[in-house]
Amino acid sequence: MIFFKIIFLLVFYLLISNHLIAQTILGDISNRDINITASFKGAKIIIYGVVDPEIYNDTNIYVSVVGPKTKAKLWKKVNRYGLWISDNQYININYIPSYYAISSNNETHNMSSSLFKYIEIGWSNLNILGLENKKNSEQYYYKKKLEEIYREKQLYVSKLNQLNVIENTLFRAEFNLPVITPIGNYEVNMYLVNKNNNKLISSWHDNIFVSKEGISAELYKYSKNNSLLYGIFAAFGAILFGFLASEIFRRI
Amino acid sequence: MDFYLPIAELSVNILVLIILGLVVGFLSGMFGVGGGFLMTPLLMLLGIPPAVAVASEANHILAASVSGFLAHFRRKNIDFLMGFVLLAGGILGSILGVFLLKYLLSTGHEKFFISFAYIFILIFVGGSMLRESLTSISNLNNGKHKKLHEHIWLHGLPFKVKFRKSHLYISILPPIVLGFFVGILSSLMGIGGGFVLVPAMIYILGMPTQIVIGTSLLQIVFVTFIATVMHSYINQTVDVILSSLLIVGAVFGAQIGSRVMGRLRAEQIRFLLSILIIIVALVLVLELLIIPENIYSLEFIK
Repeated sequence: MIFFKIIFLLVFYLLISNHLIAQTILGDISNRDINITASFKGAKIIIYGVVDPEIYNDTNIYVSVVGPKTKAKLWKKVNRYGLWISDNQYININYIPSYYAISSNNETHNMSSSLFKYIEIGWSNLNILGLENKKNSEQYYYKKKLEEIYREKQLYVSKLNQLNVIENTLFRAEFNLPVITPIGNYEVNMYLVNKNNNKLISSWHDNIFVSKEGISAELYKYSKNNSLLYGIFAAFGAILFGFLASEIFRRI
Repeated sequence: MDFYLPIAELSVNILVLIILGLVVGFLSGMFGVGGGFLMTPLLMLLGIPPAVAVASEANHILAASVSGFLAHFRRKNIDFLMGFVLLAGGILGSILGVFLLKYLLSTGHEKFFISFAYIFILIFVGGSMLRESLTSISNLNNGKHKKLHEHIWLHGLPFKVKFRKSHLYISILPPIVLGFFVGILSSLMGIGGGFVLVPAMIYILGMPTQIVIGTSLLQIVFVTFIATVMHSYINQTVDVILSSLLIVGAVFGAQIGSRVMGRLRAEQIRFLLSILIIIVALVLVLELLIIPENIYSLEFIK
């Protein structure tokens, strides 16, 4: 399997090598449409890329996947009278990617450069809105807490320094989407950065669309669009279920 | 075998849900409780969002209580007059409860309030039931005869009606107030209310245990019907895949439970139920006492 992929990539590389002179980095995604069906157990995103070997040694490659932006509430449990409860203690997050994955070929030392902030490389450079009016130390603290939660839910995948590059030109990044993957548009980005001066040389972008399909999608849509009828069907379905069971048992 | 729940938006093991349904259904058939006070916290432990757990639970209890109700109906264990009197209060109470919840949500203290309400009621109900059942079991063993029911001040109220099935001649005010109170709790806590209703009917109204269970199921059927439709309509939080899987286990469990109940003495049923209620209360208290692994949690808003 891997052998075939390498062959594919070599052919791919030969075909696009002319463009590469102008482009210096190019990629492709294994699956642009991910469907969440009843048997959905998560998905794997495979991103193939190719970089100009002439300049490879002076560069760092970053591959990121940024999930649909969303609003969120960060709840905090507090201790009241010796009991741990959630009591109206939360921070409104107005803008946060619901999924974030990053891979790179090299250890990145200076993550605080303005370029990394701009292209959102690394969790600390993610554009999260809602913490602006907090002190710097608090912003850092809450970003760290968000990172822990994302990691635990597998909504944050960090593979810095884990991108394998073959022959200074071909590479492949793999990320897992968890079962709770939010639906919507996922941006796939590749950045080629000069490692001496942290300047962006080239970039490549594409999208993955995650949607629901099959019976679960139909039920989801129906519950949103015809919520009253959905409720009535659910209620009468339950009554019918209970009635049938009781009839069956009566005969046993 | 995993299955993706469309509204809860996560995958769960089908077998786990069916077994959960079976166990809780068994208890519901045996004790006349819907099992919501057990199932809702368990579903949340599986990672299902609280709003979805509460709403899908209402749908699940509906099926289980219809099945349980019919089983008791065939054994003629239902006082319909009493059931409808309770229900009159119950419907009013559940409507008031919806508005009360709306008010609590606007102040933001609903989680605090609900946690305490749960623990207080479970300990109060479980404790008084345990004490009473132990007394009557020891009285029975000592050969003492128990009165049909104790006369308290509640029985002196006006609007007296004869409840033939329950062998009672009491005012309709206590059952209406009781139904009203339980209706409020149902809306606030996402439960059928059986675990409050059953002991209250036994100890406050003085109804016979065998009749109480079928009669309380009548109220639960109506209240959970309203809750299913309202939760779907207002919040879109009823996950029918989740509730169907629970129902499969529950309807069988309820039938077995109601058969087992026929072989037990009323005092024994009350004793077992009180132990169960106290265990749930203790688990909830423990959960609040233990320092949480992560004091932060995240909720995406759509």
